[in-house]
Amino acid sequence: MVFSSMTFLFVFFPLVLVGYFGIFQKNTHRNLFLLIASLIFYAWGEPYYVALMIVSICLNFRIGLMIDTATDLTRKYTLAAGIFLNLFFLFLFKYEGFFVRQFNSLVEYRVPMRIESLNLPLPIGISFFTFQAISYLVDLYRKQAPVQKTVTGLGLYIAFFPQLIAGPIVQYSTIAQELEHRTIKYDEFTQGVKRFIQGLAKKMILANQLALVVEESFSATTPSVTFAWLGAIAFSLQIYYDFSGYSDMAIGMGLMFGFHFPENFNYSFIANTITDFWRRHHMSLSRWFRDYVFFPLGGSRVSKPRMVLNLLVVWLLTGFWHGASYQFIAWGLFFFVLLSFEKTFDIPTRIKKTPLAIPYHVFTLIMIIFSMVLFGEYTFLSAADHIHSMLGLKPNAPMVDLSTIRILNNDGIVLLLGCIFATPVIERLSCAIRTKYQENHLASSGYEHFCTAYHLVLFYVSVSYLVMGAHNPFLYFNF
Amino acid sequence: MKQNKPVFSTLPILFVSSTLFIGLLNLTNFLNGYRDANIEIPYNKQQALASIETKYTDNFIGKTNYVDLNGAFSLFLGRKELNERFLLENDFLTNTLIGGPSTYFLSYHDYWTYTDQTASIQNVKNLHDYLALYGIPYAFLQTPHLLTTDDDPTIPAGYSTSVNDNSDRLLAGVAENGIPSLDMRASLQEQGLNSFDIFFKTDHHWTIEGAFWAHIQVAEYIDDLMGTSYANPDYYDLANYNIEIYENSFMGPSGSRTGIYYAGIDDFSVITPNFDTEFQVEIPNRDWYRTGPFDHAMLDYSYLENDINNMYKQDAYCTYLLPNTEYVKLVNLQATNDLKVLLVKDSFSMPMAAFLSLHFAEVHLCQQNDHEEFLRTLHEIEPDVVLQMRTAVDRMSPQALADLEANQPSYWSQVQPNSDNP
Repeated sequence: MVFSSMTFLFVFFPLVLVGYFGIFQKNTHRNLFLLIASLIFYAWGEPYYVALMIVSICLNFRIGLMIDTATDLTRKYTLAAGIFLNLFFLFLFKYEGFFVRQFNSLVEYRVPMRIESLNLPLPIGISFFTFQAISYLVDLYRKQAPVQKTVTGLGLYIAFFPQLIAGPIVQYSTIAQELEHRTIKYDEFTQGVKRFIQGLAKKMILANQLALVVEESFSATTPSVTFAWLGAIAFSLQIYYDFSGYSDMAIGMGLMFGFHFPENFNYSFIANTITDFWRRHHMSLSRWFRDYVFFPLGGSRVSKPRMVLNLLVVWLLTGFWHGASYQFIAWGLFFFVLLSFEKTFDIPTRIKKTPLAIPYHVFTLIMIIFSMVLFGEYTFLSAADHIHSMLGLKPNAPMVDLSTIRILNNDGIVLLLGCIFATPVIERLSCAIRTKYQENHLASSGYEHFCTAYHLVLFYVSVSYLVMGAHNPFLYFNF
Repeated sequence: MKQNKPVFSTLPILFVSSTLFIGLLNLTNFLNGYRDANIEIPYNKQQALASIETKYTDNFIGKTNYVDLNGAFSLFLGRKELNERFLLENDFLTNTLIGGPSTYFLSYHDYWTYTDQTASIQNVKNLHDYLALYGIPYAFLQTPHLLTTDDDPTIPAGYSTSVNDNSDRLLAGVAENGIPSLDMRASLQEQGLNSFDIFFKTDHHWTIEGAFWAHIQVAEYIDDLMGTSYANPDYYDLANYNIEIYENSFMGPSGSRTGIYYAGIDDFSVITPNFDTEFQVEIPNRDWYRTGPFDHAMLDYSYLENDINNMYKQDAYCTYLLPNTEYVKLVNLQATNDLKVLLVKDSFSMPMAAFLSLHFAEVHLCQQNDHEEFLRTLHEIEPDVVLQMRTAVDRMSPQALADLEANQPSYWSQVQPNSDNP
């Protein structure tokens, strides 16, 4: 089930709210109710793989207990076994086909042997819930969080529907306490509703409309230079709104149920440097790799060559996490090169408050857009072809074509809104208004009513897109 | 600094209560969708789940309000395209079709976007040649497109259409084969009119006034073609008709796809003769058998219920001779001639045929979707003249025709009579 569906908005979610607030009062009952709801949520899209989810929960629960009670030496091995098991599931469903293909292509000219792939369909969100399970085991091993004593509690951590399918990846230590005790405040519930609606609107009004531009540009055989750029910019914005919209909905629902999930996006495109970009974009994934891969490898407090090697490992894994293909590996390596450059020469500090800051900001933005093309195009070759078009290197491709004019004519305002909302302009304006009138109750009250009306309009307009059967895939479900 | 108490927000209450209320309102709809999906697609769970969502959305209570809201918001966003419809600069709606990579055509029908009109010309020639074996005159009627010219000023930058250019090519091909044709686009221009004068804003059809105008062109053309003077010029004068205008009562399919704020609403006119008429009308597949004056025999006023919510479901255009008809027989019991006209029909033909039947003894309408059924009907009627609307030429797609030919080689020659049994 996806959040941006009529079934979720008007059947599943109201029923869960009624059950959670109207029927169950004790935290343990509420946890069990949320877990059952989450499994139904997952089963709606993956009727068969819900069994896999339950197995994963039970296994990790058992391993968690073993880590908690084991001696120092066996703790390590138990942790290793737990991580291996989780990664094995991930490998089996996500990477087995890729490795079988590579093996077959390597040996086919040497020996008459061919391995058949299992061709298992990818369970939705497996990369996300596997990482959460690993986070639980590692946090437990590091004694950063207490062991989860109930299978319901751990099940809820791994399978909680708001962040089950596309994150944010919540580290166990972040919400371990809230699994046991949480309070729901009206103000936070209000914030949750706002975040949820904002996320839904980002998805339905911006991401889905931008997707139409992207589809056209990416499928054009010889796009003009401007049309290729339009497609690339539209895709960068689409993926930002699609994914940050999903995260907003997840964070919003978390708040409604009393959980505080970590932020996942912070205006990615205003980043000054690539390092800054990864502090703003898909922050929960960056944090996960930082805490569970980069730091254990030594992080940046090692020699420069070793740090570069650590970065290489992290970015190879990050690329590979996104998908079992050379395209994503290349995408990861692209960022490895950029980040190594920045870290080796200490670019973020050097350019700070210098005239170079602005051109480097532009360079950063262009690199991000190129990386998005690599990420979003159908294949590695088509991505290279698109970048070729963007650089004006394709023979016979005009600078401007009718498609560009038509897109600007039809989708110009959506693109403009996409650019505006990708910056903190509106948020800062809203903050400024709130601060200015905080002592004037009448004005504050008027502003709050305006916000209520604004969010309700956003909600109903988003629903109207659902009713119209608008283009509706969530990009990060593929991971 | 004095700190006011926090402002209470009603948003959570309004949000939760509205999702609950709307959810409850649509609960039966959801349960029905769930039941149907499990019955219809028991073998594929994922497909069944997708089907539940589709059915739930399709039957969502208040759906038209959301369509209206979406249309209004799309206007705010300055969107020209919405739900496969396109808003021209003068607020008329037309269809958008993707005609190849990144090429958008404004055209109702994809056949009209084909630069190569060979298949359509062949379809016309097939029917013409077949009828020629029986000595039945045939004429091809090129109806006007919504866009009078391919460089119409209402087409915004970045969009294009080639429907008129392609129609010119089709007409040239038809003429090359010695087949008579009437280009109503030329008639329109000669009379200083524009397609926007005869089309609805929210529908791809011509208005009833447009159909009335078209019937004059066709009636005159039949007389020219047949060398007769059966058409009664008195019936060309709207002064001899009652015109009842139902204001803001018509929303065509383009309108119902995009909503009232995006598309607007059209007026709908009902034109009926104010002179004595007596007709016998048969529409077998709609179980419609009526004898009496024009309005009683041909019009179903139930399609004109002037209810805004009804407009999304009910198509006033079907007032004339009903929707989804297969074969229609109009017998003018007061006719002073015995001419039998067969019109290879589409939805465009319906109101026009109603007016045409005022001039001739019999007007028959049948569609060409099923060739065998068409030929059977043709031989039953034994018409004096056959007319084919442009919009009806490609009812059987070139691919379907090719398939037919592949399965039954020389399809047309098979059904052609033996020379000793004409």
